[in-house]
Parts: sequence; C-alpha cells; structure tokens
Amino acid sequence: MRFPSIDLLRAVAIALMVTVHFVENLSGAWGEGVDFNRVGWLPAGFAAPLFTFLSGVSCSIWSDGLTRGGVSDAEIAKRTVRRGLFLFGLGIAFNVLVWLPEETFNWDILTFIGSSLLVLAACRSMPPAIPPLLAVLAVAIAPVLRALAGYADFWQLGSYEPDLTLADVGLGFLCTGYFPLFPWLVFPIAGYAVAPAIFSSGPGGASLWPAAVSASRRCGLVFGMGACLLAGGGLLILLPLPGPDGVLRRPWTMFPPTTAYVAVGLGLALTALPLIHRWLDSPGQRPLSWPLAAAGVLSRHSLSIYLLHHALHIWPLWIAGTWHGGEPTAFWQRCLPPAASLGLALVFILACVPLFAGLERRGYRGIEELMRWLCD
Amino acid sequence: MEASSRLGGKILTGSFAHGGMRYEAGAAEFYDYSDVDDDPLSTLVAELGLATVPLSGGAVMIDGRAVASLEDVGDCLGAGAASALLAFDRAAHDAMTPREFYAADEWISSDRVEPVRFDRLLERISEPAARRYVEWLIHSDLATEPQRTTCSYGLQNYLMNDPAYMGLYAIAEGNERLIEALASRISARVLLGQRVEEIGRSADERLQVRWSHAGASQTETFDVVVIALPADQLAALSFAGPVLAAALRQHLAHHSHPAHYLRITCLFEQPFWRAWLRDSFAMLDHFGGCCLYDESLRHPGAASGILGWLIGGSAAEEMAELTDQELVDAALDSLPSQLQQGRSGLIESRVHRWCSAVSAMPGGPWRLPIDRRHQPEPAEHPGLFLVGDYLFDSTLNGTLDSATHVAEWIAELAATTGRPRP
Amino acid sequence: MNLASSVAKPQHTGAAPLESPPEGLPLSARLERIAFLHTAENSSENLPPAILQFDDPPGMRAVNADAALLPGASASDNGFHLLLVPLEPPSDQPLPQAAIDWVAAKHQSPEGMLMLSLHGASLAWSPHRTAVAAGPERLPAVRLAIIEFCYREMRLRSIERGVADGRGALEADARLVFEFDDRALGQRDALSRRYQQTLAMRSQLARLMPFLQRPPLHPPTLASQIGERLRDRTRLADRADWAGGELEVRERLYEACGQRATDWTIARRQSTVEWLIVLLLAVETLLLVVDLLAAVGG
Repeated sequence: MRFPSIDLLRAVAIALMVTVHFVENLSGAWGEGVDFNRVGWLPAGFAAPLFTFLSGVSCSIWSDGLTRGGVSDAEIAKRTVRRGLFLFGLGIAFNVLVWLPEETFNWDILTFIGSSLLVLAACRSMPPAIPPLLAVLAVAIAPVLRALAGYADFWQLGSYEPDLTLADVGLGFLCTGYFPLFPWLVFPIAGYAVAPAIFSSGPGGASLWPAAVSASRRCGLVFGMGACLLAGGGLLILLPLPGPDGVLRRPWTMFPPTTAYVAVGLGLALTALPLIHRWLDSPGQRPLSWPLAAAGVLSRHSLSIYLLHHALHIWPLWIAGTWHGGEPTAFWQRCLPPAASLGLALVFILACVPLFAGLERRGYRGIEELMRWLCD
Repeated sequence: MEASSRLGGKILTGSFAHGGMRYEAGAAEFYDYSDVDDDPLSTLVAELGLATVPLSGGAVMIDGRAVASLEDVGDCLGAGAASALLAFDRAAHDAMTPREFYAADEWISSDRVEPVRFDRLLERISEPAARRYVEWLIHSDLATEPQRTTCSYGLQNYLMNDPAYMGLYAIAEGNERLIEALASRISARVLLGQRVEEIGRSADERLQVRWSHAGASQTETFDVVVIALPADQLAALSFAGPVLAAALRQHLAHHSHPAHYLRITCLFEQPFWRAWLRDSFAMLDHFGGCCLYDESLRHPGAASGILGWLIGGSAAEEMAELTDQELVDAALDSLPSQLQQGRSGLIESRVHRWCSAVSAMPGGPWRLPIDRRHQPEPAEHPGLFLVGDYLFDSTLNGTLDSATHVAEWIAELAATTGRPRP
Repeated sequence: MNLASSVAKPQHTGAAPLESPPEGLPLSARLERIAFLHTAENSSENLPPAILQFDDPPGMRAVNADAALLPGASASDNGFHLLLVPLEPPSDQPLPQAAIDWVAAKHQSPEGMLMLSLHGASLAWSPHRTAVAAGPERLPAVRLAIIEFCYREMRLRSIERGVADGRGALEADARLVFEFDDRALGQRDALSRRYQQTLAMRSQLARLMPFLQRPPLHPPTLASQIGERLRDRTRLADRADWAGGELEVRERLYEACGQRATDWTIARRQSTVEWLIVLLLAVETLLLVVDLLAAVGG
C-alpha cells in the first residue's frame, strides 16, 4: 500500500540528493572556499537522513502488509534478508562501476541501506523495546567509535580515502565511511519503530504503542518526539559544550554525522512525517493531485533514479577526463558553475517524471522490479 | 425354550386389522428412574436405539369430571378431602424418599414377620373421599386390593405418581419392539412351542429337563437352567426329587400372590374424548379404579382413536369370566355421559386376560436375600435359577434386574471355574 | 446481557389508554403488560407494586406495567403481554380462538408458539405473548406461575443470545491458545472482557438451575402443572445444558488465552532483558573490535 505522504517526502529526498550530487560532483571545487557546511546548503544535508528514515518506514509497512496477507514471519525475514543482500551487492557493484574500483569499499548509501535491512530483519524478532534502544546506542557509541578509529585519518579534503586493508574496510563499514552503520542505523530503525504508530489502521496496531491510544494521539506523540529532538539538536548547536573534537562539541557536520546533525535530521523526519500524513493520507483528501502524482513516480523509482543520475553525471566526467588528460577524475568537481549544475539537476528531476511515467505505461518497472523478482 | 409361539410374555403389542394401528395389550409403560440413579432398562432401550415417548397423566375421573390437581380435589371432594390427601401425601413422602424408593427392591427384611397390609395405612386417611381417591389412583398399578399387599408395595404404587420418584415412558413403535430388538441380538437357539414338564437332578449331578413338543417328549441335561416364569406358571411345573420339590413349594408359598389384569382396547373412528382426556392416561372411578389410556397418542396425525382400559385386582379376576363383548360394553359404559355418543364410532375391540400374571406382593411378605430369591435349592441343585418380576417389584424394570442378577452370577461362575456349572 | 440494565427508568407522563383484550373474548378477559424491573435502577416510589419478587438478581421484580405508569418499559425488551380469560363453568373449555390468534399475531420467534391443554386450563405461549384460560378462582395462581416461567425463560434466552453473539469471536480467538504473539497482545483487553462476560453468563445460568431442575410438586396444583409443562415443552433444562456446555468451552478457551497472554508477557519481559544483555555485550564487542582494527590498521 502506498501513502502519498511517504511518496512526497521520498521525492523531496531524491530531489535534494540529485541536487547535492550534481552540484558537488560537477561544481564542488568550482567555487573555491565554498563551504558546504554553510547555512544555505543545510537542506542538502537532510536528504540522506530523510531517505534512510523512509526506508525503515517502508520496510515496516511492507512487512506488516505481508503479515496481514498471511505470509509467515520466517518468509518475511527471508525476503528482507534477500533484499538487504541485493542492495548491498548492488551498492558494491555500483561503487565499482560508477565510482571506479578504488572506491569499492567507500560504504555509500546503497550498501548502508542493504545492511540496515539485515538489521531490520533481526529487529522484527526482537522485543518491541529493543530496536529503539539499539537506535539510541547507535547514536551514543558512534562518537566513541570514531574516536577509537581515528576518524580524521580516513578523510582527506572532504573525501573518504581508506587504505585497502581489512582493518580500514571494517572500520569504514562500522564508523568511518560515508554512511557507516554507526550512527546511521538510527534513521532506518527509527522509521521502522514509528511507522506502525502513524500508519496502522486502528489503536493498538503495534505492541510498542499502548493499545488504547488513538491514531491521532500516536501521531502527536511521534511529532512531540521529533520536536524534542529538534530542540535538543538546536541546543547542541547553539550552546558551547565542552568535549573533544568530533564528539558533542562540533555542532553540525554530515561527515562525520555529529549528534546534533543526527538529532536535527531525525527530528525533522519525525515532525514532517506525521504532519504530512495527517494532511495527505486521510481518505477522500487528495490536494495537489498532480504534484503528488509526480512525487509518486519519483518515489516508486527512487533506486533507478539513484543509479541513473549517477551514471548520467559521473560517467561523462570520467569519459571526458580520460579523453582529455588520461586521468578520469580530471574534471571532477570542476566541470560546471554551481548555477549550471543546479539547473541540470532540476532538468534531470523534471525529466524523470515523464520518463519513468512513460516507461511504466510501457510495462517497464525498473530495477525495483528486478529486486522484487529476485528477492520476493 | 418357550411354551407359546412367541417371545415376550407380558410384553405384547397388538394391532388392529383396520389400518394396522398398534396398541399395548400387555405391559403399558416402562418406569424411568434415571433422575434418581442408574436405570438399566432405559439405558438398554437407548442402546438398542429404540425411540421412546414420555407418558403423562394421573388425573382421576370422578363422575366423569377430571380431578387433576389439588384444587380439583378440593372443588370436587371438599376442602377436608384435600387436606387429608395432602397429609397422606406428606406422610408417604416421609416414609420413603426417592432414593429409598429406587433401592426398595434390595431391601432385606431383618425379621420374618407378617407385614402390615396397605389397607391399614389407607385407613389413616380421615376423609373417606380422599381415601377413595387414593384407591382409585393406584388400583390399576397395584393390580390387587390394598388388604392383599404390603404397606411398602402400596406406598411405592402411590409414590410412583410423583415425577420426583420416577417417570413413565413407552417405546414409540410398541413396547414389543424391545423384545424384537433383544431377540435379534442373541445368538442362542430359541425354541418355541416347547412346553417344559419336569425338571430334576440327573445322575451326573446336572439338571435334567423334560419337555414336550408336538406331542413328543424329550429329555436333556444341562449345567444351568434358568426358569423365567410367573409364579402361577411356575407352580404348573413338576420338580423331580423331594428336596427340589420341597424347595419350590417353599418358594411358591413365599412368592405366589397372584394379581390380575384385564386389558380392553377399542378402536374408534375418531378420538372423540380429547377434550375430556387431555393426557396419555387417566384413572377412572370404575372397576375399583382402572387406568384409561389414549393409545392413539402414539400415532400422531391418525384420524382414528384408540382407548385402552387396564382393569386390575378383584374386578379383573371377576370380569375375566365375562365374554369379550360384555367386557367391551362394560368398558364403554364407564365413559362419562357426555362421551356416550362416541361409542357408535367403535370399529374394533380386543380383550386380553392376564389372570395371575403378576404378583400382588412381589418379593413376598418379607424380603429374602437376593441370591436366595433366585436360587431356590442351592445345596443339591446349584445350577437351577429362577427369574421373574415377582421377585422384585412386578415391573419390567424388576424383570431386568432379576435377569441381570442371574446372568452376572452365571458369568462369574464361568469366569472363575471355567464352566457355568456352579 | 443484564436484563435489569436494559430497562428504561419509569416516567410519569400523561395518561395513555390501557391496552384492551382482543375482540371475541368474554368481557371479564383482562390484558396485562408485565415488565421485569430492577428496584436499584428504578425509584421504588414510582413503581407499581410487585407481582413477584425475584432473587436473581436480587431486587428484580415483576410489575404490571400499564402505559400510564411505565411508558418507557417496552414489553418487547423486558416483559411480555399476558391475556387472562376467566372461564365460566364448565371450566374445561378450550382457549378461545381469538386468544390463540392474538398470540399467533405477534409470534415472531423461532422458539415457536406452544399450545398447552391441561385439565382446568388451556394456554397459548410465545416469548412475548401468552394467553391462558382457566376458572376464575384458579387464574391468580396460574398467572403467577406463568409470570415466573416467562421471567426465567427470558433470562435463559438472554444467556443464549450472549452465547450466540460470542461464537464468531470464539472461533477467531481459538487460535490464540497456540499462536500468541505481539499482535495478539493488543487483543488482551478484548479477551479479558469476553472472559468476564462468560463468567457472568455462567453465574446467571447457575442461579437459574434451581428453577429449571426444581422437582415437580406433588400433589400437583394447576399452577405447578402449568409451570412444569411449560418447562418441559420449552426444553428449558436441555437448553440450559447446551448453553452451559458452550459456556464451559468458552471459559476454558479464555482461561487458556489469559494464561497464554500472561505467559507471553512474562516471556517477552524475559526476552527483553536477554536482548538487553545481548545488546550491551554487542556494544562491548564492537568497541573491542573497532579498537583492535584501529590498532591493526594503525
């Protein structure tokens, strides 16, 4: 079952992601001194938290739908594991084919989402109180793990540069890569935990939530948690707190994902989802029908768009670089002005809607259908 | 071996030539003790898969008017009679509880004294009208006069009208279906028309039986002989040997107290009495008190009607000498005046005489031990057993109890000694 | 389920005409509307005098609920109409056809309309309408017997309704005896409610049994004969046995469900503690592994 609220938020996340990638990969170094941590670039930082949060929400809704359809828990677990392994493998292959072989183990978002599905498969069989605790632990120990691993040693000029050793590969997967397990696990687990509260059909849809609490009250509770996280994150940013670098004191970075970043990202997701759900998902209420239809197309083909947009803007860079100087990364981050990159991103996003809508009409479902065929 | 041409004895279901409608010519009903304790007879009926119909009734028709409740007794016989009846009823209930009623056949008299007769108990009813009411109520069940039976037996026949003590039922397709169902299940050889003449001891200390069939006499020896005859027919048998003869004489002296029944059944074009007789049966104040059955209730939807008179005691003994037609006329005369016009619809009638067929004092004046009742001469003739309702309570339930006792006895002997011979 | 709670409070309104017997009956025939009310829920000052008091539940009473006094007490919900026809001698006349037709007109229940013909009285009974003809001096006692019977029969019928209503949920809940999980935990309140309802019905049935199994009166009175015959014909004892059998099954099922829910909750708590320990150990292991990898890499 698809919810317009999830489609809209996922479409926003995809749009932000495409924009970020186009601008950073095509224009990253064009404006020297561009500080990607400046306030104007803030929305770009929410794409990944929102997308991974929604992956947990979707996993929960999908597995509940299977349960209501009579599929056994064991079968659901198997399908989840298969999907996780598929995405993990696809992520590795993507790194090899798009980012070149030396980036195989950069632990990008695809490998992370695949890994998180394996964790969510285990979360299904845990007592309801354990996954939220796991999420809190993931955030709590991440700074400690980074400190132990020596996070700064793995990053050069804003890029993850590990050695191809087992230790570096392992540490990258756990805490130093682009999207390591810790603390990023907090987002899919949080999405998985709150989805039943927001999207169940009646009170008591999940045992984590009190059986007598109504749907609107549960949404209110989720919104309240999000608001508290936003406030907490804001305090972390604004108040000067003592502590070592990269731990509590550094307020806002995505790499590494500071506690304030995680708190604000999760807080935004937890406040936005129940609000938009109450606005868009009520029966009979369908405002903004064509934007929602477009969002639906983008959401349904999020994986295909992720792969396609990388291929469309990265491969020409490698080809041009190889053609002109022999170094594939010759034009990386210095190909176009930011405004042009932004424009291209917008064009790509807008073009995706009729493109994938047209392919749907012709029966083409994209790589998502391949995943379902292989894994379900 | 059965002397007559049929099995069943006093259980006889007849049928009219017109329409083949069935009626009970012998035993009218079965007694249901299952509300008090185990009832082997109703269990047996259920096991045989026989459908039953409950029988209800008990109104006494006095001068053609139904006296069916305590209020009716007061209205018809007077308030004094109602009080006297109530007092008698309470005394009867105090004298015998339902469980004591159920177990009455197992009582053994501790002393052999002549018991108080039932008429002495009835004399304590102060109101003559109430006394007559009680006599009419129980006369057909007693099948004898109150002075010829014991207090205990008389009380039982009064208390049997209380549903708390027992219920009444009949087999839907005729009581004789019980016999047919039993006969179909036994593998023994059944010989009909074989009249046993003499039983005695053989040279090898077994039992020798002499019987005749079609004029020819035969003799055979057996390990065990079970005689299932009413007391009057038992008296017609010859028992060889002084010991055995004396034992049977003693047995008969104790148990032979003949009581009599007369059954008159009439088939009419229609059941014209339904507004007057609303139950399965009622008691009439004629013939010393007789039971009138609406036999046609077991044929729901039938246009014809069947009335059956069960006359007992002295009236039955005296009237047995009358012709069938005289008996039918007497029966029809007992109907109230408002129903006399219905006699013109008489189609057929049947009369069955059961003289000396039951006991007026089942179990005798005092109760012998149960084994003693069934084994008249245990010393030299241990294989000779007697079975009969007269040893218990003159009912079919009693017959089953008696037969069960002997059968279990024989089975136990066979199991312990390897042969049925004691 | 609770007959007492389903009856509206009595109200004094403007006088409404009493209901009259159907035509074709003697002038002395009388039509009554009998209601069963609970004194705790109705102000005793406004109630008409009790015809019969019941102890099941305590405070229950039968009253003559004519329209002027109790317009809110609908006979169809918690009472019945009783048509009394005194018979002039000879009193062994059948029930007038007009009375039979009156009973049959409202006969909607599957239990069927019964016709009883005894010496001294004739009766047509259905769950909401009863007509009886008897001698005038016998009618008061007969009336009481009918009222008591109708009350008990109504109690049994409400229990049967409760049993029938619960059958759908029973089959769905049966699987929870063996397949109790987190999703089923949300039904705990509903299971508890059904168990309490089952116990309440069993309790009501147990209080009804002395009436159903009361031995017949001897010597019988006309009233006792009518009561006993009605009990037999409506098979109250058998119906009570059947209802009792179903209630026993329900009670065992919901007892088992309650036990499963409790066991599950305890097991879940234990599992949570175990997982907590696993998590903490995993964190410790993770820290050690990262430290080790960092040392190896460094």
